[in-house]
Amino acid sequence: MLEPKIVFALAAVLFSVGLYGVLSRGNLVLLLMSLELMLNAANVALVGVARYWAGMGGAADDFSRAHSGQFFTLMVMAVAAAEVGVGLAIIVAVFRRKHTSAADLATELKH
Amino acid sequence: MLLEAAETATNALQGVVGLPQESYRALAGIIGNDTLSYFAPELVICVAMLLVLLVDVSDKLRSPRNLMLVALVALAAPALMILGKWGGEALFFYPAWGNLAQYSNLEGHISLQPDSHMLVFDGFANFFKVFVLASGLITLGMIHLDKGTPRRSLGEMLTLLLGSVLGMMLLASATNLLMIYLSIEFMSLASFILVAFKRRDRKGTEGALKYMLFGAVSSGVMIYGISLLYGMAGTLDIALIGQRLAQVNDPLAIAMALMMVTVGFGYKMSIAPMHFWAPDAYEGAPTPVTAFLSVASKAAGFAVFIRFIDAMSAQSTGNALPIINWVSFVAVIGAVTMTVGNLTAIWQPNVKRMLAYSSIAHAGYLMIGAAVVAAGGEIGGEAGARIADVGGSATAFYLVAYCLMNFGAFAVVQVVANETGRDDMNAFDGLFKRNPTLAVVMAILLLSLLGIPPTFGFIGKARLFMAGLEAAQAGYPIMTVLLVIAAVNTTVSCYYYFRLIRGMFITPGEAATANRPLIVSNTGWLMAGGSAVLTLALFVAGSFFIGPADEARLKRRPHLEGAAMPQHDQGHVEVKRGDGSKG
Amino acid sequence: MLLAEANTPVTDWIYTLVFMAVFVTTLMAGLWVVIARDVIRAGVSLFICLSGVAGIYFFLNAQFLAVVQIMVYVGGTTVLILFGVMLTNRAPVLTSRRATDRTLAGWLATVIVAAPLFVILVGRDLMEKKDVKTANGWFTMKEAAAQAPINTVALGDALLTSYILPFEIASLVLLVALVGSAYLARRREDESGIEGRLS
Repeated sequence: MLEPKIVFALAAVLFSVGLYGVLSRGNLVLLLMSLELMLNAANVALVGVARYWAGMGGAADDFSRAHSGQFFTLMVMAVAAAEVGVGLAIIVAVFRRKHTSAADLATELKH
Repeated sequence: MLLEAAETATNALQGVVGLPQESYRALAGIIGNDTLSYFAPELVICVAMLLVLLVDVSDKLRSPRNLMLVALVALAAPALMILGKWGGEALFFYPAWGNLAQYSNLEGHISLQPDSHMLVFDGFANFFKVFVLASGLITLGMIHLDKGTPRRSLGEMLTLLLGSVLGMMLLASATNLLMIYLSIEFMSLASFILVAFKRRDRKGTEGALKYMLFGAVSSGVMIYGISLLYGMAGTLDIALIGQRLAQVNDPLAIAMALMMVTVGFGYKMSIAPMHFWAPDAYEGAPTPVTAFLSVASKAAGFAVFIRFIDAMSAQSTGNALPIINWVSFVAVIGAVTMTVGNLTAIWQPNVKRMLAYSSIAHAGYLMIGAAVVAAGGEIGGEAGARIADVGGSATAFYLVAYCLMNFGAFAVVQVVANETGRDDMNAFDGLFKRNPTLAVVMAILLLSLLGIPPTFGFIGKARLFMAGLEAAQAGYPIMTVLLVIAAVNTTVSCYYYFRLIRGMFITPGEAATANRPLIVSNTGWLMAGGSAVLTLALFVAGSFFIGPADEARLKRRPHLEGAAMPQHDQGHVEVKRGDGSKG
Repeated sequence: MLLAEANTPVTDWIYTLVFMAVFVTTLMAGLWVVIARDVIRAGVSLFICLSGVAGIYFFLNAQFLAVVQIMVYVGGTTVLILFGVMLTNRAPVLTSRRATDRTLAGWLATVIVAAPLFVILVGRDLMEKKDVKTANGWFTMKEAAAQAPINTVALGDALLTSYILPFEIASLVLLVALVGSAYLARRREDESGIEGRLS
């Protein structure tokens, strides 16, 4: 009933949208938000896959097969939250010097 | 756990005094589980991280000296523990790092479930762990040397350094995508902060910002790639994935997944499309951190990349051949990386930036080794495994050389920056007048980076090229092309290395300081001079590291029983919910 | 499981309806995060999108993850980001700058990445018939509705058996993040003067 393709399509759309946001946004906070979208898209795909493998049944390693996806998602959530925290700390540190968060990286940092 | 780890540390110290084998056996008994004893070095670092934090908040104990001491023990003890366990007989020096078989018979995996192995403790992992720990030790020395590091924040800095080292050690032995992701994030989070460590410095915080954004994006891409792999193989264990992908006939999906996961590793290795963060982060970071990142972080990235390639190329990429062939893929990335690195390095006015681009170029050279591993994996069988091992050990060997010369070069930059407060090219003008020995030291290190004969860098590069030739002879013409490009690139890199050398020896320095001698502290001499001397000495005695590097062998798991893809009936998928809802 | 075990057509109908509502909301909110020019609005739509993802988790039989998603992402991360907005800007509204080339790069990379993803995930039906082997991949996923033991108890078991090591390592990652962000964000009493060299 719940067509898995729909879930993966959602994941793919969110991922692409997030990627677009990351590349096109100038504002750092907006950039972080797009990043969150990307991570969530990957999580949705992982949970969707875990759902699929759980449904397969049968094999001996069923347990970890079905759970590794959900567990991975759990870890991504924990670590990504930490990453956002660190990212915001860095943004705040930059902001203290520049007093703008619309820092265009390209202007300050040449390649 | 804490007590046990303390026991571990004491035992490691006893091991230094001369109780190698027995104490480790006892240690295994104490921890109670033979497999967990493999994890003891990491446990020591965990405890030390907490210890550094505790010492840092204690009014009585808090002093830079104490903090450094804890960190020193925390980095030295695990290295000795690994060496002791690895070499079996001797602790410090070992004629050949043999005796690995003794341990590889043990089940060196930590896991309860058959396909959820998290870590593997093979020669390859051990090599990179010792390498990372040694880099950490050298970094400690450089922190000692550095005048720019805020001393009051030394506790935080060492905690983060230890955390980063721990992440790299885990990464070197991770065999599970979950563990790989966690370790990459671990080392990344710690290094973001380390780069931003000079909080008042605009370059530092902005470099860290760029580093962090790149890191977060590439880890997002990597997770998505992992979800594709997991979707196709139903497991996160890379050995199993490699074996199961052989049964999946979908080139596009495999290629996409492998490329997306490679993005995550490539960012750590700072290879071509993912290298943009490196110059800014390297320039903005305190010099010890720069050196640490450019050596240890890159090594850890290569360790996991090679392990990943080896697992994946075994049987699986055959299925992705129409779209992606590992050997060509890695070779093309390598060629692009070294070219971009070298061409951009030419224009850099700042020595740290120049060294950053040169380290990108070196990542390109190291990709030769990775390509050889990929070729070995594709050939398969005994012969393929041998070629892959040659590639792995050439990479490991070159990393040793790279570690020496790069740390040395950054130490010289540090010394000069301490004196002049600058790290642009002009600061090096007339260095020969001010301190001839230092100029000679820097010249030796630069020649080694370039790979010119009387230096260790030459041997490293020669071994890489020989490995590449071996793969080329095994039927990979693209390797020949890659080697030619690498040779051309080496020539290009002459330009910017020699420009700096010319500046030091010929160009007169600024009039105000031209004749004032540049004073170098003892630590400075130890770091810079030591690495230069080693670079020269190892040209003669380079064979010393061949043994260890050859011992850096991946432990390949035999075909697993669970490798077969779980099948479901093609005709009728079992649907419990009835079929009324959906056509 | 809450919804999936319902059997009657009426509940099926409601099930579909609720799912489509959650799905569309998530998608639209996700798009709006990238389109919105106003940071606060983008933040609110991120909030909605992340809640929607939690809803999707419920439908995917991952109840524990759904709860964690609400607690960590919706409750934590979004609020953190909104704090970031407040900390980094005096005005509550901040408009984003856009450069044309950045937008172009965004489109380019997105198309390069998205096109294969959609071919892999969605447009697979055509290839499927040609090749039996493809059926092993996830793209042929049918609703394999057998209720395998994905539930909170099993996940908790996994947490403390197979995955004990990553679980512990994650705590160290959090420790490092905590120490690091505290260092970066705290008042800088220490930088009035850099003390002398070591020892």
